[in-house]
Amino acid sequence: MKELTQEEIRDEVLSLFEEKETHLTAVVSDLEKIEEEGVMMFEKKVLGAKNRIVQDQAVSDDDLERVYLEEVENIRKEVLEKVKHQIQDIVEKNTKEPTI
Amino acid sequence: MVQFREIPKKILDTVGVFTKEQLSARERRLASPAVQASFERTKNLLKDDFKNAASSGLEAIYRFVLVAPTSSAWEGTKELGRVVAHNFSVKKAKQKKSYTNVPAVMVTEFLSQWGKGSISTIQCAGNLSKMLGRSIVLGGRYLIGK
Repeated sequence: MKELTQEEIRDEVLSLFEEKETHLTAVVSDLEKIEEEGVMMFEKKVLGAKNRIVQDQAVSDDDLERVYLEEVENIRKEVLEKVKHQIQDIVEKNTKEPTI
Repeated sequence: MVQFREIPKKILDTVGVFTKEQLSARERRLASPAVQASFERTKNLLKDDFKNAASSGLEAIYRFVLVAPTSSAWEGTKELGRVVAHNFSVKKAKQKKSYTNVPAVMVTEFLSQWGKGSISTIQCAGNLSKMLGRSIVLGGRYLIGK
């Protein structure tokens, strides 16, 4: 087996990473985008819920905070599920063996 | 049935103002520091959950793409992978994240595990580890830009 110098090993490892860099960078970028969009989706839904609850006569003043925070928690769960599905889709897309 | 035109405008205006005040008061209640703090906690919890889910996904993809073997040290390399990928994606040196917070041992493990899994000619991961232990070659290379 060929003996490699440390320099050769380093270059080979780095070149392997460079070979995959476009792919890995795109994946990280996609994941970060999904995370950011998830936070925006959460904030938007909470704002909508807040306006709805404020105007909802069925929600008394005393129940206002409780109902709002319960709704926030429900929205958190809902958005988390959506984002997890999106992440799972990316994982599946990027871990498929290429078919010949 | 009462027609609107039969209700004096003054009363309608008064009801309108009262309703607006009531709505404003309800909005203020939901904008109280305690409620806001609770909302922020929930949002931060969600962000943490996103990060965990994304990290697990990223780990699966890294394992697949780089043929990385199972290792307890792999846990730490995920964060390194994020930094490396981030630095690849930005052009300006100022936007690049520093590797200084990444322990040298993590870089070592990242490359040695990677090498063991995918580069068959590399049989001396130990040497690589020693070399990288002295200087974070990967970090230095990308910090100064390719």
